[in-house]
Amino acid sequence: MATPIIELVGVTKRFGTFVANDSIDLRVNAGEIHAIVGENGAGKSTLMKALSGLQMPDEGQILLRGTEVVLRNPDVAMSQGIAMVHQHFSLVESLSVAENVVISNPPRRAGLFQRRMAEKQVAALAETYGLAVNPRQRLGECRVGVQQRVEILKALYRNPDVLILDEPTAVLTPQETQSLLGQLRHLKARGKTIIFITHKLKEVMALADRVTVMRAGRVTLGVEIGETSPSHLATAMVGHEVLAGRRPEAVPLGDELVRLENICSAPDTEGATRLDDVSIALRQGEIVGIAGVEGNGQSELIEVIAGMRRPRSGRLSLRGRDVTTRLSPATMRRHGVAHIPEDRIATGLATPAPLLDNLIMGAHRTAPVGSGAWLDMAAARTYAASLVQSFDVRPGNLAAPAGSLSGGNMQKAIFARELSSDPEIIIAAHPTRGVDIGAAEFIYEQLLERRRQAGIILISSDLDEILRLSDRIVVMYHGRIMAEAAPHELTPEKLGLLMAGITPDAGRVDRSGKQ
Amino acid sequence: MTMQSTIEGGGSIGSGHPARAWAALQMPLIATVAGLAVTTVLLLTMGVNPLDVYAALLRGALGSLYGISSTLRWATPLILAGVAVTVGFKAGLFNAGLSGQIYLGGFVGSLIGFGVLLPAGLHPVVAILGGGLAGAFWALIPALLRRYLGASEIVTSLMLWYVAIGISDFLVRQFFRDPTSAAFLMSVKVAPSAILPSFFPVGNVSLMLFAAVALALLMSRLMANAKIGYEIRMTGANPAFAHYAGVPTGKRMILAFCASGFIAGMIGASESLGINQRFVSQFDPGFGFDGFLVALLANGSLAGCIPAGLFLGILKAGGMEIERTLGVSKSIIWILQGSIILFVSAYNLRSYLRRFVAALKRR
Amino acid sequence: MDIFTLSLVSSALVAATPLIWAAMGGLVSHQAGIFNFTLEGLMLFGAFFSVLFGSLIGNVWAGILLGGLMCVVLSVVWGWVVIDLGADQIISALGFILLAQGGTVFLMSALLGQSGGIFSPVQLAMINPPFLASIPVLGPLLSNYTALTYLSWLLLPLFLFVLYGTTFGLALRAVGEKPEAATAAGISVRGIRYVAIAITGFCAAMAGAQLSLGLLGMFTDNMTAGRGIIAFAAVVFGRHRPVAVFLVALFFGLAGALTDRLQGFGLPSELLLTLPYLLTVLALAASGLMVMLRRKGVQRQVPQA
Repeated sequence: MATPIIELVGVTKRFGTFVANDSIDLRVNAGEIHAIVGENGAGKSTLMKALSGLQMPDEGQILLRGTEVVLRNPDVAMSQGIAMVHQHFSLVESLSVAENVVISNPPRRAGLFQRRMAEKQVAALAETYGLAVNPRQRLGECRVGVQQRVEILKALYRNPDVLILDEPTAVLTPQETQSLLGQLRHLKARGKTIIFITHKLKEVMALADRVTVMRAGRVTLGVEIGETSPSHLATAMVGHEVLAGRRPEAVPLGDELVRLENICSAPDTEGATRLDDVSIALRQGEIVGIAGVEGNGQSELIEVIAGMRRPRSGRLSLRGRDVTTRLSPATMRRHGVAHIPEDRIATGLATPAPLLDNLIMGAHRTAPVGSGAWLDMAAARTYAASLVQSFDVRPGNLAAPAGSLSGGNMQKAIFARELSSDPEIIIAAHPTRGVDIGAAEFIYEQLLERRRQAGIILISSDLDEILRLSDRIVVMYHGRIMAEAAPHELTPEKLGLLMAGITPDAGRVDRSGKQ
Repeated sequence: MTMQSTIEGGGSIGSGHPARAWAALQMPLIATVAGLAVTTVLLLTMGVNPLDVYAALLRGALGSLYGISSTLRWATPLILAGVAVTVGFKAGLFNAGLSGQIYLGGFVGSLIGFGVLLPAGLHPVVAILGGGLAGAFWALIPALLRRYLGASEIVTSLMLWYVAIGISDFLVRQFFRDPTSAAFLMSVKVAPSAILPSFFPVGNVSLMLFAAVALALLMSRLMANAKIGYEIRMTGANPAFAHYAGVPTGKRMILAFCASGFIAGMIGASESLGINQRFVSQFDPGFGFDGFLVALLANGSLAGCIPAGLFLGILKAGGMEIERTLGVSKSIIWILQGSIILFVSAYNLRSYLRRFVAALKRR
Repeated sequence: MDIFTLSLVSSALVAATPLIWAAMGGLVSHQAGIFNFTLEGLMLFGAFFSVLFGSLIGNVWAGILLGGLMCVVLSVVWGWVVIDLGADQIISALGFILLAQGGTVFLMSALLGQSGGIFSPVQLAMINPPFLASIPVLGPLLSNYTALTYLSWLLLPLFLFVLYGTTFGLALRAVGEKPEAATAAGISVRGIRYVAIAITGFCAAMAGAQLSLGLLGMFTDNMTAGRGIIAFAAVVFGRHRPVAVFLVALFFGLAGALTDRLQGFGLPSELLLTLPYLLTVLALAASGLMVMLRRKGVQRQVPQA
C-alpha cells in the first residue's frame, strides 16, 4: 500500500476543558478527493486548521509522505505543499484580485511590489486551471462565485500538492456548486489531492473517493465511497438513526397578520441589496419559508418587517392596519412581532451582559418583572429561571455572561425570550445556523408548535430546512420574489434555478440582476 | 476596564458574590502594582529611595488631621468624577471631555454664587445644581453629535473642553473680573450665603463629601434596579440588540451622557463655592483624568467609586507632601496614575504574571 | 483688514507641520488596524527628548534623531501593552498621554532640576533651498522653513508610494482591513502592527521636535496643548485616506495660523484660542453628516455604535 500523502496520528486539540479533536487518526492518499463530514461543532474545522498551519495541535503527529512535519504557521504549511481555501473568504476587499492571490508571496524587487508581474502570473494561473477572473478588478466588486475562484487561485498560487476546502458550497447556488465540483475534478485530474469539509452528503456522494466522518471530536467512520450511502454517513454523523423529517400536519389558517405590498428599499451600505417590488402575506397558522442564496434581500426583508428599515415605497400592514410610516422596532414589538435574528451575537444578545439581563429584555417593561419605574429583581430572576427551564438552556447560570453559552444554547435563550410574550408574528432568520442537531430539533418543534397561534416567516439558506417546515415557499433573488409555491410543487432543480434568478418555465434569465 | 467589565459590574452593592468582587478587583490591583513597579524603577534610576517617597505619601495623606482632611477634600470631587465617567461608560460612551463640563459648571456655579441673592441654606444648593445643569448642557452637544451624526464623543467632548475654558475665561475677564488681582484671572468673590462651608476642624471638607457618597450609591441603585438604568446598561452592552428590542437607545445614550455631564458640572460648582469661593481660572487640577482613573479602578462599579476615590485622594494629598519634604516633583504621582491607566485594561497581564510566578516557583 | 496675506500662508504651513507629521504617522497605525490615540503623548515626549538630547550633545539633528529613537521605543512599549497585553487601545492611550505629561515634568525636574520649561541652546535653523527660492511666484512662499517642514511635504507621496508600491504596503493594507486574511497568507499581523506603531512614534517625535526645536527653541510643560488630539481627529476626518488626512492637517494648520493672526486684531484671545478646537468639532460633525448623506435614504435606524 502506497504511503498516504497525509497522515494524522493521534491529533488532539483542546480549548480549556473542551476537547475539539480527540486523538484523530486520518489517512489521505495522494491524488484522491477526500471528504470530511460532520455536524457543526464536530471538530472538522479545527482539524483542518491544524493541517493548514493556523493552529498547532496539542498532541499527535502530522506526517507528510511518511515524514513528520511541524506546521507552525500557514507559511510553513504552504511551503510544505498544503494550501487551504477558507470558508469565510479570507480575502481583502480593497485589494485587487491579483494582489489577493499573490499576497502570500508577492513578486518583488528590492521591497518594491511588481504589480504587473503579479497580474501576469495570476492571468496565467487562471488560464491553466480554467478559473476565469479579472486580475485587475477590485475584489469588493466581484460576485461571490468569482470570489470563490480567487480563493482557490490564491491557494493554487503556492503550487500545493494538497488543497483543503472548508465548506466551499455554503454560499453557492446549486448551479455554482456544480461548476465548483467540476473544477475540483479537474484539479484532481491534474494530480492535486483534495480534502474538502462539508455537511452536505449529496456533494460527498457525487465527488469524493473516500470519506471520513467526525462526531463530537472523534472519527466515527472512514470508508471508500463505494461502500457507503447517505443514510450510512448520516447515522455516523449523528449517532442515531436519523428520521426523515416528518411532514408537519396542516393547521387551520387564521386571519391575515402581515402584508407587504410592493415594498421597495434602497441599498444604503456597501453590499446591501435593494428590495424590488416585494409582496408577501402571512396568515396565522402558516410558516412561510423564504428561500434563496444569502445576500439576495432576505436580510433587508427581515429588517423591514422588524421595523429596522423604512421602505422607500410600498405598504406594510399589520392585521390590516397600515404601519408603513410609523415603522420602528418599538412599533413592531408593540404589535406583537418577535424576531429571532440571523446574527445572534450582533443583535440577538448582549454577550457581555448576564443571561438574566438578556432574558428579561422586553418583559422588563411590564409586570411581573417591571414594577413602576423599577425592576422587581426577585420576580425577574424567577421569570428568567422559568424560561431557562422550559427551553432547556444550559448552563442555567443567570449571572454568567450570555456570551459564555454555546451557539445552540444562545439560540435557545433567544427563542425563550422572544417566544415568552406569546407573539402572534414570528420572524425566524437562519434559526439553526451553527446549532447542534439536538437544539435544532427542539427549535423545529417549537416553530411547528407555535404556528398554531402565530404566523411565522422563516428565512434559511438550508433548503432541507425550508422544505421540511414551510407551508409555502417564496424564493428571492436580487431583492425580488421569483416565485411562490407549496413545497411539493418545487423540486430541488426548480428551486436551484429560481435561486439563481432563472424562471424555469420561460427559461428566461433575470436581466435585472448584475451578471 | 473595558465595556465588558463595566456591564458585568452592573449589579448594585450586595448583589455580587465574593468571587465576582475579586474578579472585578483583579485588574485594578494588578495595574496598581504594575504602576508602583514603574514608579519604583524610575525613582531608583534617579537615585531616590522609593520607600521614602511612599512613606511621605502615606504620611501626608493619613498621618495628621490636616492630612486626613486633605485626603477627604480631594476624595469628594474624585468620587463624583469617577461616578460621572462610569455613568457614561454604562451607556457605552466615553466622556473624555469631563474637564470641560467641570469648568463650565464651575463658572456657572460661581456666577449664581455672586450674581444672585438667595438665603444661606438654599444658595449653595441652587448654585451647585445650576453648575450641574451647565455641565449637562455641555455634555448634550457631543451627545447629540454622536447620536445624530455619529461623531466620536471622545474627540468632540475633549475639544469642547478647550472651548469651555475659552468661553469661561473670556467672560470672567470681560465682565466678572476681580480687579484686585492682576496676576491671576479670577472672578469676584461669591456672596457669603453661597459659600459651601467646611464641617471639618481643619482644612476644607464640606457636606459635598456626603453628597458624593450618596450620589454614588444612588446611581448604583438606579443603574442596577431601575428600568431606565437597565435600558442604559443594555444600550451600552449592545446598542443594536437594545434597538432591535425596542429600547430608545438614542435617548438613553443622551440621558446617560448628560447625567455624566451634570455630575461633572456639580464638581466644578462645589470646587468654586467650597474651596475657592470664587471662579479661578484653571481651577481644575485635572479632575477629568483623575475621574477616569477612579472609574477604571472601580472597574465599572458605581459604588466602587467611593473606595477608589478615597485611594486617589490619598495619592493627591500625599503627593504634595512628597514634593514638600523630599523635593521630588509631584509629577511622580501622575506617572503612577498614567501607568495604572496604561495597564488596567491589559488583561493578558494576568497570564504573564502567572507564568512569571510559575517560573519563579520552579527555581 | 490684511489678514489674508502671503505671510498667513507661510504661517499656516509652519503651524501645519507638526500636525502633518503626527497625522501621517497616526495614519500608518490606522492602516494596520490600530486606533492610535497616543499621538499627543508621543509629540510631547518627542518635543522633550529632542531638546534634552540636543542640549546634551550640542547638535540639533542628534537631538532630533535621538528624540525620534526614544519615541520609537516608547511607542513600541505602548504597542506591547496593546498588542501582547491586550489593553484597550483608547484607555491605554489616555494613560500614555498622562504618562507623557507626568514623565516630561518629572524628568525635567529630576535630570535638569528645572520646572516649567527648559531652553535649548541649539535650535532648528530655517533653511532656504536655492532651487525653490528661484521659482517665480511661489519662491518666497517656499523659502525659509525648517527642514522638518520641507520634509513634511514629502510625507504624502512617500506614504502613497510605500502603501501601493511596496510589499510592506501590501501587507499593511491587508492587516488593517482583514487580519485573518493576512494571517492565512503567512503575514505576521503582530509584526506589521509593531512596525506601524514604531513608525508612528518616529513621526510624532518629528512633530514634537518641530514644536520645541523648530519654533520656540525650548520645551515647556504640556506644550503640545491638544495638537496630538487634533492630529488624531484629522485622521478620523480624513477617513483614513492619505490625501484627505494630509489636506485636513494642512487645513487645521491654517486654522491655527488664522487664530494667531486674528489675535493681533484685538479679538479676545481666549475665544480665538478655542477656534482650532471648535473647528475640529465642526469637522467631525461634517464628516458624520457626509457619511449620512452618502447613505442617502438610509432607512436602517441602528444607532451609530
